Parts: sequence; structure tokens; C-alpha cells
Amino acid sequence: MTTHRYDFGGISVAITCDSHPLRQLLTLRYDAFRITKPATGDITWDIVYRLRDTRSLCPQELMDGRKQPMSSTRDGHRQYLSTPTFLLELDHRQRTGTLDGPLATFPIDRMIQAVWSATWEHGLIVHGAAFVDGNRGWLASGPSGSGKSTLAGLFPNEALCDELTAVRLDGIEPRLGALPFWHSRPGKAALCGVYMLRHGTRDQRRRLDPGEAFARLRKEVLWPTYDAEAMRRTFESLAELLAKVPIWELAFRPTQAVWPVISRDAA
Amino acid sequence: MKYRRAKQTAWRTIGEETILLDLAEKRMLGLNPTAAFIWQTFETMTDVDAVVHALGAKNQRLDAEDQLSLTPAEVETFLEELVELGLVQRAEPTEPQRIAIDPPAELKPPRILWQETVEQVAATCAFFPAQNPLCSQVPFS
Repeated sequence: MTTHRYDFGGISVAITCDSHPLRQLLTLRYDAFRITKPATGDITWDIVYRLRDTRSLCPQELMDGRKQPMSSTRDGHRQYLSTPTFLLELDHRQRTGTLDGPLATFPIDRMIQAVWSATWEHGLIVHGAAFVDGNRGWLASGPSGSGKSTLAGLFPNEALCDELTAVRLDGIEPRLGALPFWHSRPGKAALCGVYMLRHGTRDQRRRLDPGEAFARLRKEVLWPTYDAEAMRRTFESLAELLAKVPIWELAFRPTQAVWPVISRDAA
Repeated sequence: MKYRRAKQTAWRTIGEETILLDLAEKRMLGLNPTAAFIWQTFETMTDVDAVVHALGAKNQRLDAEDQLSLTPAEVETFLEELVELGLVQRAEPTEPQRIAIDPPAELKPPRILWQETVEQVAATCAFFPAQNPLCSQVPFS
């Protein structure tokens, strides 16, 4: 059995498995997020991945497996999350779990979402790209095609990830953290603003009122629909995010001239 | 008739709207201020008389031309709409109840402004990498 530890948006997750092909997949997909040991004070989870089937899934099975909705049942501090393709058992008291699944990474992607949502009472995962400059960070969100990946491509030194970003609200200041989805590398920063992207003929931002911000941002939140309590926490965290962080609409042309607009202070 | 909130709900006022989250049906609804006022009277349970009484108390503090009016029928129709949606339940009568919440400054008929199903997230590449052209770009070089 081999154990590798990762930092997924501020949670230290150790994944243990005895399958060489699965370890290769983990290396390809998550190696940038690998850490040797958790930092002091980090919340840790230990997950054992047991291969249910050693063969790889065919493309159609892979697609079907990714789309299958997850269901959840609870028995005290134990939670059972399942799809027809995998079963994830979490012990919230011990912060341990087992994952029975096929030779694929999507069960781990879903595990990351479940563990993250279960761990942080004040936090949510947003469909958006994360950008950092020192300790200042910004989240650029919007539906597919709105420009998240374009913006990340313009600023490879500032972009952490271009798909899903973790937002924590439990500290003194809201913080963002990169998650290992699509193009990403680890990193975190204070969250200074959220941009709802659209392509435009010039670079400009417009502060959104809370109602409009909620209407736009709620469609880009990763809602843990499999768990009512996690959904309630996500809802309350979204309201908290709107109260603490300025939300802007950003119209931009695909040039680097947009960076001063993004990084401008809110005042 | 008395009513109480269904347990599987959460709500927040954001800007001008009050948003209800129906955890059982996985949907969100936006309420106008009058509907939000009625919803907020449900901290424990409420009835039509309690809502009308709260309006009367407010009216005592207002000039005649500013007085608010909402008919019991409008309140009851709205409450029954919420019952149909499973957001409130009819309850057994108990002790009379006082409501300490102020109605909104302008009183329009209570309305659900919108409702939508809560999706996990629409069209993200996160779980479908490289499955469509938008998810196949290479932004970091």
C-alpha cells in the first residue's frame, strides 16, 4: 500500500491505494498538489481507495460515471455517498474514509467535493478561475465560454486554476484556494473580489448590487445537492460571501491590459 | 387556520429579495418584500389574523395616506400557495401569537417572484475535462 498526501484547497487529504495503475493516474492528475506532510493546524483526512474493478472504464462508461448523481445517507457520524459506479464511506469523527471505485480519477474528484463541503462550515466551491498577486486574490466566475480560461491563459503567472476554486469564510478574511480541476496548481490568497466575466469591447468593471450578484453567482456554485445540511451551509456561505466580498461584473478584451482593472482596489 | 414552516427550508434576505432554499425539493424561490414579511412571521408559527394584526399595529404609527393594506384573503391565498409548494404546513391552533416584525414600507400583494431548481453546477469542465472544445484549451503555458 502506498500513501500520498495532497493539499486540496486547504484540506490535507492522504490517499492510500495498492494499485500501480491507480497511482499513475493520481500522479498524472494531482501531483502538483502533493505535499510531504500537513502543515501545523491543517485539517487532515485519510482515504483508502479500494479498486472495485481493475480494468479501465471505456469512454462511454467514463462519461456515464462522471454524470451520475451522487446520493447520500447518514448513520451518526458515518456518511455513505454513492453512485452506481463508486461508494464513498466517510467517518466524520475520525476523518477517515474508504472509496470503492473503478480505475478512474472522477470518484476522487467527487470525494474532494464531499470532504471539502463536509469540513468547512463557512465555505463553498465556485465554478471559477483563481488569480493571485502576492497575498491578494481574485475569483473570476461565469458560465463556460465567459472567458475564465482565456483570462487564465493571459496571466499564467497569476492564475492558479481555471475551473473550480474553494472559498473559505471562517477566518479573519475570506480566502480562496486552488482545487485540482482541469488546469491548476496549488495556492491560496486573501479573496479581494469576485468578477462575473463577460467578453466586451473595452475593459471595465461594474459593482453588482447584492441581488444581482446573488442571481449571477448562485448559478456558478457547486451545490452539494446530495446532502441537505451541506446545501444549507453552502447557501448561508454564499450569503456571507456577498456580504464580505465585492462582486463585480468584468467586461474585458483578451489582452493583458485588463490586469490593472482586475487588481484595482475596491474603494 | 395556523401554519408553520416546513423543516427543510433555509432563507436569507439579499438586497431587495428574500431567498428561500427548499432543501427537500432542491430549489430556490425569490420572495417580494410582502411575501418575505409573511414568511418571517413564521419563526414559530403564524396565522392570517396574526399577520393582519401586525399590519394594524404598524398602521397605528402611520399617517392615514401612508397606511398599509393587505386583505386576509390575499394573505391566506399566499399561505395556501406555500402549502402547495410544501414550504409551510397547516398546524393545530395554539395560543394567540404576537408578531414583533415590522411590515415593509410599501405593501404589495405577496408574490413568489421566481423559482428555479438548484443544479449542482451547469456545464463545468471540472468533471468532464477535455470533453468539449471549451474544456480542451491549454491556458497555462
